Amino acid sequence: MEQFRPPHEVQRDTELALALRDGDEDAVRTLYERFGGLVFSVAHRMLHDRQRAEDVTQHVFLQAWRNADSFEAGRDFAPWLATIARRASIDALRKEQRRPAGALDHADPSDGALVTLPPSAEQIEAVWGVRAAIDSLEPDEREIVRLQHLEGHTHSEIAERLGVAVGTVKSRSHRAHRRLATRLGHLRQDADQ
Amino acid sequence: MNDTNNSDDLDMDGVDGALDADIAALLADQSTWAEPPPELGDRVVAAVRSESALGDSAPMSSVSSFVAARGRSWMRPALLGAAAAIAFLFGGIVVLSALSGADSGSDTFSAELTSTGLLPDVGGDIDVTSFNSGLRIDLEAPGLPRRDDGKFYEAWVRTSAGDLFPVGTFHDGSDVTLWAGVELDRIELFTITLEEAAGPTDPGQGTSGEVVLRTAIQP
Repeated sequence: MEQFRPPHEVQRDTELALALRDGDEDAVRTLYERFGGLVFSVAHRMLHDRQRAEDVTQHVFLQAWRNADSFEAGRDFAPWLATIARRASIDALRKEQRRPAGALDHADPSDGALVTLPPSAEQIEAVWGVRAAIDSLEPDEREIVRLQHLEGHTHSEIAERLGVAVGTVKSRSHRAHRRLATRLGHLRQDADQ
Repeated sequence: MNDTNNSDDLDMDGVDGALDADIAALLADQSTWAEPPPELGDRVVAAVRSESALGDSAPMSSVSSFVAARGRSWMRPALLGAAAAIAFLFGGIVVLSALSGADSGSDTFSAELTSTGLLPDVGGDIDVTSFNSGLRIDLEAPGLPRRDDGKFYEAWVRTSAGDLFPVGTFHDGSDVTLWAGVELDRIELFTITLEEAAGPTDPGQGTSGEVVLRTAIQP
């Protein structure tokens, strides 16, 4: 998951890692502000429950703070936090599945406990990558991508909703998708291999 | 809606549709766009601060020093007279206890519990009394929301050697009495966790690790 990062980002992450090791509480807040949405998104994807995703997100940052000594300063925080988030979510899923045993015949087919495998590390990497990519977009581009993909609107509908020309929506959408395609190229390459 | 093949809505060079199907599916997934509540950042920092405070200071005080600190000088003359009566009465109780074989507690301590932030706005305190039969821990944490229907709280003490002792389960935090079969001088941590009943086939019957309240024990 680790990708090329410009030197100033490496420097910023190094300073943040060292502050975390020193037990600096502000460093935890900085880490949360940068990665809180990403971690929450992964937990939500795995657990499909906001409350439990909140609990897992809190747990992830507490774990990161406790284990800051084991994190190599200068490395990208993203893969480390994604791993903690996935493990914490799996633990939460296992806990959810701890329930009194009953006859399998009586189980609801939609019961989450019957879905055997949690998302794989690769699937979580994809969730993380896509969320990071949309977070990197300009707010106006992000909103158009959200309206287009999540809410399923056409360019015309988006233009009407946002009160801008259709041509503006198209150009912003075009720009946003180019950026997404560039940022997510590694996921597509992985899938092709 | 979602008619992106409409000629009015075609993108300029098809780049909108160039994303791989898996990526497009993730972009259409609610979870990908899910945002945490604004206060979650404060909860994370509060949880860290809570742990950090435990490492720096011991929120622990002996009952005797606590009582002494609350003493007032104007009460001394009255207390002197009362003390003699109490000493006489106490002496009688000790004699009666010794005769009856009763186990009076000793090495009493109190400690304030610190929230980890997992549950907002909770707190409490414990009084620990050492008996021959074990430690009696009186817990008062009335802010803990009641847990029923297979959900409950569990209290634990951890020794300096890393052994974890379960000391009781309860529905809410008012007027709770717990017992621990471990010596007071071996304990370094007291915690309360969120638990749920596990089925008989579940091999892991240990702690959930979801600590809501904790305190260091430094007798």
